[in-house]
Amino acid sequence: MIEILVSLILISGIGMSGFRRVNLLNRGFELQSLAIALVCLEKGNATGEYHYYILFFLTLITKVIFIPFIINRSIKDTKKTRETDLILSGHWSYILSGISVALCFVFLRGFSDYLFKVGCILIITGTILMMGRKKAITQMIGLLTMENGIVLFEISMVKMGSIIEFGIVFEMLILALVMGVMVFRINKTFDTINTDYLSNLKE
Amino acid sequence: MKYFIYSIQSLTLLMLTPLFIGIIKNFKAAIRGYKGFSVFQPYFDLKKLCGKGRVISKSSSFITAITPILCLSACVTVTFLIPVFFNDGNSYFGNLFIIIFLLGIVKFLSSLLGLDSASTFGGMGSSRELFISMFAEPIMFILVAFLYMETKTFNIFSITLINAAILKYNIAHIIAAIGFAVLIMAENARMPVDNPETHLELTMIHEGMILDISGRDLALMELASYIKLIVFITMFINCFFPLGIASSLNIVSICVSFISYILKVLGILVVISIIESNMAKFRLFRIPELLSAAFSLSLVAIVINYF
Repeated sequence: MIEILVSLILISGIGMSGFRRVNLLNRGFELQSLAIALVCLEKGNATGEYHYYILFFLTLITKVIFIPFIINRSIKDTKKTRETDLILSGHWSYILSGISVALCFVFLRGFSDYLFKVGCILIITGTILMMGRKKAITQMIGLLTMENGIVLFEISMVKMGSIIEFGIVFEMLILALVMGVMVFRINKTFDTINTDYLSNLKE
Repeated sequence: MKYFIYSIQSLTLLMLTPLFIGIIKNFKAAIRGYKGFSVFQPYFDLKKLCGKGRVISKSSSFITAITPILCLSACVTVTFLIPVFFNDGNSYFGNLFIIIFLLGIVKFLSSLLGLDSASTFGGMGSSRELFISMFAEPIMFILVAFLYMETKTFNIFSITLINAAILKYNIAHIIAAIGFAVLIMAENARMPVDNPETHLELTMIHEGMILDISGRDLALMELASYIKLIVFITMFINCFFPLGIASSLNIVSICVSFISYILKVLGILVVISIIESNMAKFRLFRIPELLSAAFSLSLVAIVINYF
């Protein structure tokens, strides 16, 4: 079961690095978070430790239900559904993420835990998403993907205190809320959410 | 006895192919909410087309005369080189490269056919077909390399025998299977790449090449493309998820294997029809993005398998 979930996370990570439509990216993020939540549940069943269950519920409520809802609202408000001029084209994003995933597996071959490697990969694909796109919403989804990677890191490590898990999850929730409001305000003021124009703020 | 079963299973595949096509059309009709025609309609269509004469353009050469029968014979040959529901790891035939190159003959001849009739649409269809296959061929070879690294053999019968013993698939195997599923769509001109139902001149790929042939030739080309789709699906099932395939000459295990094969094919046909009913066709220049995603998936599969 955990193999299917991990491969789902990997496929959604690679797929998301090249999507153009913000809606699809949102769906991909939702699917990825659901898979991570189920990995937590599986881990909790295997080890019987309660903090995995806490992480499962937190991930399910915030990342599968609440954050995609916020992103959907800001897509609807700003009416920007599609990334038009990319810094890194879809074709090259896929190739780059494929190569970086391969390199990750080569460099981390000493680790036997798949979750650690996949966490690393999600951080890289999130970075590709943040570097290669111009719209603020897409960059926000890139940051959230990186955060999913951090959660996977945290699952694969030895047991951390639940307070750290709470910290990670609520930080992301606040960040998504603030970004949602910010995207809306930026769109209202500049009539675009292209981050190139943010340098106009200097004057 | 064993070779008798091998030929029986391939003949069964050939007999069932138009039925599967009828089923996929019926599934699509059901999803769209109207009553489809009978599942046996492709048989009647092929019979009707076979009864008609051929009309050949004055500007076409011998290519048009021989291509349909050559395409069909290449496809029929491939069906005798793959396991369907019985397999005991024979090593005399069934090399994956021979299968790929036999399917390459179909592609090569049908693109020549598009050029041969000297019409503009045929040329456009051929150029698009080769444009897509330029991106699809490397994926095929990388997946073959993955199968070699996993099982240390190029023979599809041995691959099936080794993979049938796996009960718990690992990550690399699942990712490679997803890559192959994208490849099936691209190689057989199914929905995100090409719409198999349309005859709109500006978008067609496979129909563009066979636009100028009619009658018996058209029947042969259609049958060849049907067989190609089912051969790809059978290869997908038997290379990646061959659980339940019969490996001994036992009547019970062969029946179980046959039923599980039919169920697997029906499952894949349902997935294909859901995708085709819910997705729009991609723009031609967006197709490289889809195929590069499949490319990086298969690359990742090899790397995960190795390390």
